[in-house]
Amino acid sequence: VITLRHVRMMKLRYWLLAAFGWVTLALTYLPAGTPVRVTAVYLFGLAGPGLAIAGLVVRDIAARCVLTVAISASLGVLISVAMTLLHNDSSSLPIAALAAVTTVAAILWGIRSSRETRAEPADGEVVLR
Amino acid sequence: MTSTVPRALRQCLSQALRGLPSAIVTATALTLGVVGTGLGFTIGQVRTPRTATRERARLVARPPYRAIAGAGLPVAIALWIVSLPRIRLERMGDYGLVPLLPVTFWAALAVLMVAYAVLVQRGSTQGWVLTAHLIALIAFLHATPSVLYDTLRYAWAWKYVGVVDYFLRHNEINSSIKELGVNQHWPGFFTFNATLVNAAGLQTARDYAPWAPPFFTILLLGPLYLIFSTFSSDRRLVWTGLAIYVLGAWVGQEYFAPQPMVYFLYLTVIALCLRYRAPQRRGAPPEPHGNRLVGAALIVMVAAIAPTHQLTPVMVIFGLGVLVLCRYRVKTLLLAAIVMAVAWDALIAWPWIAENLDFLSLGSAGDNATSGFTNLSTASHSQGVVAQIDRAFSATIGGMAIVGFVRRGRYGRAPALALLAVAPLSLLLTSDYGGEMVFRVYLFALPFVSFFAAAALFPHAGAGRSWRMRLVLPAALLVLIPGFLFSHFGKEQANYFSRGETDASLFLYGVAPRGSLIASVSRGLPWGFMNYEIYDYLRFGTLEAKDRQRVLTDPVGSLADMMVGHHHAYLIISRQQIAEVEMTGAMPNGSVARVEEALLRSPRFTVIFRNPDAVVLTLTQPVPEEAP
Repeated sequence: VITLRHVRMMKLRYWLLAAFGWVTLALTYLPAGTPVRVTAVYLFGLAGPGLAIAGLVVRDIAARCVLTVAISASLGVLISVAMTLLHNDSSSLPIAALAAVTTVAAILWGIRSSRETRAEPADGEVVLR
Repeated sequence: MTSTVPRALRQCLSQALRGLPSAIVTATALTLGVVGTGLGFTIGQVRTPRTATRERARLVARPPYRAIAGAGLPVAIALWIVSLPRIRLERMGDYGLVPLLPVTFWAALAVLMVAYAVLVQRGSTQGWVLTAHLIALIAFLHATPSVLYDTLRYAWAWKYVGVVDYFLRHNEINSSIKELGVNQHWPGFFTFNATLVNAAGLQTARDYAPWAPPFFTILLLGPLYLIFSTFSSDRRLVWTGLAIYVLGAWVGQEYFAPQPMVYFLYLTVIALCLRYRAPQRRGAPPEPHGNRLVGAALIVMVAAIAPTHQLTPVMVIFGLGVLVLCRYRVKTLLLAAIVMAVAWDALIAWPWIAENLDFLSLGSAGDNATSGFTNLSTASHSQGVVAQIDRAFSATIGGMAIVGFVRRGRYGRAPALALLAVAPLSLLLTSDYGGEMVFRVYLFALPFVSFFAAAALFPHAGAGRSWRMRLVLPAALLVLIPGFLFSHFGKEQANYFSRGETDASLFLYGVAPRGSLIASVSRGLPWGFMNYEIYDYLRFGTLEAKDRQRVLTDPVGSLADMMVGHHHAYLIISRQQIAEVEMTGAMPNGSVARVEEALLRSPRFTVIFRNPDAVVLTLTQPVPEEAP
């Protein structure tokens, strides 16, 4: 069962990952071609959603790295094709959709991590049974 | 190294300050490349595991051995950087880039591969160090044109930049556009790039497209590592297989295009299936929750392949079919792959498929395999030699793989990998894919072939330990280097575009109004597909043989007849186009120059732009009759 306590115990890095897409979305309002905007968009588009989902899916670091790009690209393709089929030319909506996926996955990953941390006794901790 | 990189960075930053977004991307890529390689190497050197201490102590006792292992990467990078300013592109001719490469470039590759071989055979070398070597190898092989060329390399890359630009202007699939219609109906790669270009506020994908070859090749290392390490715990085999793949991938399918992206997804799908969907013993416990998430991730990737490429979904089905035969638990995924591919083809891509059913040549495997081969009787002498080298090179890797398969015999032949290596041959039964099918078969087979080729040297953990065998790996990698360079860069004369050709193309599209006819010798044109939905195209070098002959017999009359039906018609002839059609033998040597001379002499054509690399002509407009 996921409780508010688990959410509160989430480490900062998961919150940062959860916010990655929304920060990128905010940066798209900077002037066209600004280096920080270009970097953020490509970094998020090619790694953001995948990083969050790969954390949930596999534990092997090599597999996680591969899935980071593969899932990001796949979701990017699926969302952009859907937008094309719907004749929607919004530039913000695809990034917002990817950001939402990233947020959900990052929070789930963070919660799972905090639950696992609670389940494992810390070094030197005595567990009374 | 201390002068070239800072100079390049200064140049990029000054261009960026003048408002050129591509310079930002170039500067970022350059910085990341140099920093990443250096960092990877440094981390690898510093973070040597404790288990390697004894090995390290042994190496300390052998100074030359240690020196080669440690200094190989930085020396190779320095040699490569020194080589770059010495490559004189204006001298490009027969054998493409190969004769232009200075000795230092060859030395850079040789030093890198010898150092890599030494480190691989140490066994305890950190993965970071070996990865840094492979990234450097990829940079030498694939980033060299990106750094040197003023413009994007390869005509097809320009074509795909044009399609991305189309999806920046239009958010719809338009089946009425005949030019590049296939890309309209499998648009995933283009719409994704258009989304990123739009969100980043760039003008076009051209800004970063030149960096696609190193980017995609580096990406491929990931799934390949997963596949190889699933079947062998011998790190020598795994890392040798990776190097053989990089050196063996000469067919040039890593440029800015849908194929390398879906190829990466295909290999990732196969890697995950091999790792997480292995055959389960009877009575084994049900799969854990995480394994179901892997299934969901696989579905997402297979779903993304379906709308992105016309051929790869078929290969996904063949690949998953092979795994089902080997009792991997991928039946549901195979079913999903079939349903998604059929659904996309039936619902979205059908207008194109219905019009191009002749694209399929079912069952004609022999014809499909050979239609893409260079015709040695008509091709130029240099291209005949290049074609023979690339065939021998491919056969060498294939031969090594057969030896590896046989040698691995008793230690597990990995039937799934062997079947995945031969499964792409089934593609030959479907179509000749515009003469390219045999190269796609090679592309899809190469990962698994590379594994067995590496197994020829290291069939099991105890093999390859003698001093004699230790010399075989560096020797094998050194032999592969010229094979790759001739096969990949031997046709560079037809892949390189000069600044003059770019200027001519930009002029042409600057003056051609909507509805004009753009005639050329071949598709080779930088910015060749700018606003392509509003133009008609004619390439006389790719017409049927009798029509080509007609152009050669009566250039002025035949071309004027072909162009006269449009209110504006332009003809562009460029250095690259001539090289392309004459290298392949589509037009006889010197024939295009004779066509050009005839057009220049004729009053029916007017030259409207000319520079040493290209000429743009238009049909002379009749002088209006004076009013009485």
